[in-house]
Amino acid sequence: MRGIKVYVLSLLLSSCYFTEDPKPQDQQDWPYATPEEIGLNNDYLFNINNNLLDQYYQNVNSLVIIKEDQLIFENYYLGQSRDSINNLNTATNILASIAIGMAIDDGYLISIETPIFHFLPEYEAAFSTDSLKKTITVSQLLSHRSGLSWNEVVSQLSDQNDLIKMLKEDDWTKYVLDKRLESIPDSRYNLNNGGAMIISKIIQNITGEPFANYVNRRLFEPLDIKKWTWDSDLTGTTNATTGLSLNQLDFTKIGYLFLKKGFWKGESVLSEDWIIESTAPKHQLSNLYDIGYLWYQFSNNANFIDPLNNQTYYVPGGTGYHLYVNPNKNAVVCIGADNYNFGIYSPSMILYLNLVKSI
Amino acid sequence: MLFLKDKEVGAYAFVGTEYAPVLAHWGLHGNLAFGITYGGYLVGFSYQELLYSPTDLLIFPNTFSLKMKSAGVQIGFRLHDSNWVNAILNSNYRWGEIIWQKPPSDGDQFSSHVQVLEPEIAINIGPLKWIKLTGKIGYRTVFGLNLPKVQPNDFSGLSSTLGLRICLNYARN
Repeated sequence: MRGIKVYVLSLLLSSCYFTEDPKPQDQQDWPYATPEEIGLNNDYLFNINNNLLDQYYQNVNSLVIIKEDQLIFENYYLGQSRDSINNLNTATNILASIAIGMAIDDGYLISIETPIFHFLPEYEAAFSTDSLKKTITVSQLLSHRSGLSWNEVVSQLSDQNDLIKMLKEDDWTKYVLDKRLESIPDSRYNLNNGGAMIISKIIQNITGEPFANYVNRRLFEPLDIKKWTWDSDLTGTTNATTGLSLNQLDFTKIGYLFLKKGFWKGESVLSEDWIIESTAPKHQLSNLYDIGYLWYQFSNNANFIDPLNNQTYYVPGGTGYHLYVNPNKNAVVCIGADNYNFGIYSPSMILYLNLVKSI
Repeated sequence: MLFLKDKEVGAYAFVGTEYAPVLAHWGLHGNLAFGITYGGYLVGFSYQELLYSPTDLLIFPNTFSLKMKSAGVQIGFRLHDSNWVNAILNSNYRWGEIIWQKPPSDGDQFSSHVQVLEPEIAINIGPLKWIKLTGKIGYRTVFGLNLPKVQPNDFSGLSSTLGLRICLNYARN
């Protein structure tokens, strides 16, 4: 009798082998569809995929396309996979823009026209060198029009690059604020991703928690973004310039949140007012693109590429991490890449422009 | 040992192939079972695995292949017994998983735990007491499935099995 019991028990235990869960659950955010299933051309996107496999677009490691609320393209290259977490480089700074919107929603910030001087008492010395510095506003930081001297449009390998020099300092906020004014604030555009460090410190001061914690609580948790890393400078200020690492689907969620006017699965995460304001063109930068609050937009002149292309807004990260939100096509295109030093017209942007007609 | 008095005890093993629904087709599965008998009753272990991998353009542009396996317990009792033929009513309850796998890498794959309930009637035919040809008709029900593009109903329905059953008995007096 005892032998029988042991035998039956061993049978039951052997069944438990299959109760382990060694493999991940699938994503639950978007249903899948093939391009053809929503009226697009499979072949064109197969060709894009083949070009990506052949490295035609230079070090693109992932491409995700959401169209009509469905995941119609997701692929990884160069040994990457869905679980790969990569640094977004300067695409990180879009979180600075989003955090300002959330701070307004939460009542921490009344107006983006408030001079930043009021939020940074610990850096009074930096403002004392030039009275005009005290007029720099949050909105000017968000549109690269602070007037602070900044040289970033050179290779990230160059020792003249202020962004790289900032990363070697202990207090990055101080490094940016200590820069001299080279123009009257709001008078001209000068790419300055270091400004996101000032935003990071402002958010920390007005909310009482580090920028990364605030963004995690207000944005990542509602969006179910769990795997992220964020570095900081030696003072503990979150690196809102280049410090965020995410996987590609989670990066895509941020674009999708904007496409859905701030709603995620029926819950409001960010006010539509801020989405409209932050993505609207504020200044024309060239014939082809404008800038809002750290979001870029294709200008009317870019409509020759695709009709109503000017409604698209995007984040062009320095290493090729690009996020495109195209409300006209109800689509989000998220590109991961490691193609340094191609500027705004990076292979990632060329990839998007080649894609946009087909979606 | 009163429990065993006047009872026939033994052990059995079964190996065979089963056709059961898989994505609107009849999918070929491999089945394995072994256990013990006591009088007209049996209890044992049952294992089933899909023997081929249907494919689907699951996440464009990649084609994924489907895998399915489950294991669990089998209980039953003998309905009829004669020298040539015996009939057994079985019920299998298995735990397992269904997986979408992106070939050739196994880096991107998604799985769902499932439970499988499969009652069946088995007819064992043959002149020898210890080995018989077995045919089964059953009904497989899969539940607990949570994967894209597939539903529990895609794997549920009538099943038919063919195989060999070995049974070693001895009477205890």
